[in-house]
Amino acid sequence: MSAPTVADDVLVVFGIVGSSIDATMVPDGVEIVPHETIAAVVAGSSAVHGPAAQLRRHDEVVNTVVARGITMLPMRFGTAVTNRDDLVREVLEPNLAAYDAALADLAGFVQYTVRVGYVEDAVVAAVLRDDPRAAALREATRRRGGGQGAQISLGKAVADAIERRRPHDIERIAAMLRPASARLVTHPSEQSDRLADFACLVHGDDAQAFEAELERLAEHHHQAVVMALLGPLAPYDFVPEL
Amino acid sequence: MTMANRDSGYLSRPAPSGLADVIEVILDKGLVIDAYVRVSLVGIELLTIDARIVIASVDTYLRFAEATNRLDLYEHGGKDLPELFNAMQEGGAKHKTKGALSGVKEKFSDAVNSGDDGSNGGGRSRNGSRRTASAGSRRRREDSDE
Repeated sequence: MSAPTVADDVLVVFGIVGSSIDATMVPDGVEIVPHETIAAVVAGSSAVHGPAAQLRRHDEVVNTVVARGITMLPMRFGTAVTNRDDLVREVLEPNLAAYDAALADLAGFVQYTVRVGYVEDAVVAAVLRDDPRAAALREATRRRGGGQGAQISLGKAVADAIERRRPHDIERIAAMLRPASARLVTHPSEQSDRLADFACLVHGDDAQAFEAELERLAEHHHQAVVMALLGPLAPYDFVPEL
Repeated sequence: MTMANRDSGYLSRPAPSGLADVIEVILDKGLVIDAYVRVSLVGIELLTIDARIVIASVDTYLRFAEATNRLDLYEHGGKDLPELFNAMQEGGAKHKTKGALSGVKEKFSDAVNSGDDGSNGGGRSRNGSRRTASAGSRRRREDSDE
């Protein structure tokens, strides 16, 4: 086993679960490779072609396991090994203790990802109220009529001002989500009209309450932000970095 | 159970079958195994992801400029800015707001994963290279000379 090579049929690894899982709990064509107290959920790569299909397959397998109430450490998408022996010898055995500990740590928890974006008109209004430079540019553009160059300068000033206020707004939303989450990870967005994805770790017993709280927050702040809720998902953002 | 689209009220619940949603939730997340054990998964190329990275551009600027022309609603229509956007103004001096925020951060620091520090945007690439960081995919990208 040398450097990564491209093979026609490799073993795709979807995630790590406790060894109590059995073959009836995974989708057709997916197999279990047990090792002591843990097991890997795997499938041959040849049945699924193309990145989009592979991505959907990964998502589908992980979601199916999670939907059965099984705690899973999802693998990073695209993880594959050459065969079962390598999987056991090079992945499961050396990481047995760490995977065991992570599975215990995350037992019963699921992840929700809350995707939050600005209501554009509202944030632009807030920027023009709070940012003197953007407000001045707007006035100047308005007085002079303003060609495309002036419009671009104005738009850039607004975009820059949104960029500056984003950490503040993200923190306010994070503060709302924290009480409902066991743990929280924030991924600021790279798109100008978006705020962030908030990954929230929630115990299965609290899932209904979490969803209800999200609906309440989305309604309460709907004039400022648009919220979308993804999940329940496997705890992608909460697996250990090994 | 996660498959159905369950939009209700103001909270959208997109079905995970949308590739864009799947990409952003899954990509670059999850357990990583040692590089020497890994093999490349045939056909995994992340070009579709690059296409989704929207960099601030002329189009974006023009869109914001356009939005400033729709502000009469707030300025003359008697409509108040949403509550979420109020603190900055009420806080007055910027350092005051900052102080309050870091206080909150300290208070919650035990419960919060270190990833939360990313909320200040520090160290994060703007050109999307972060999204192609997984070894296998980068290799494919370089090979494909896109």
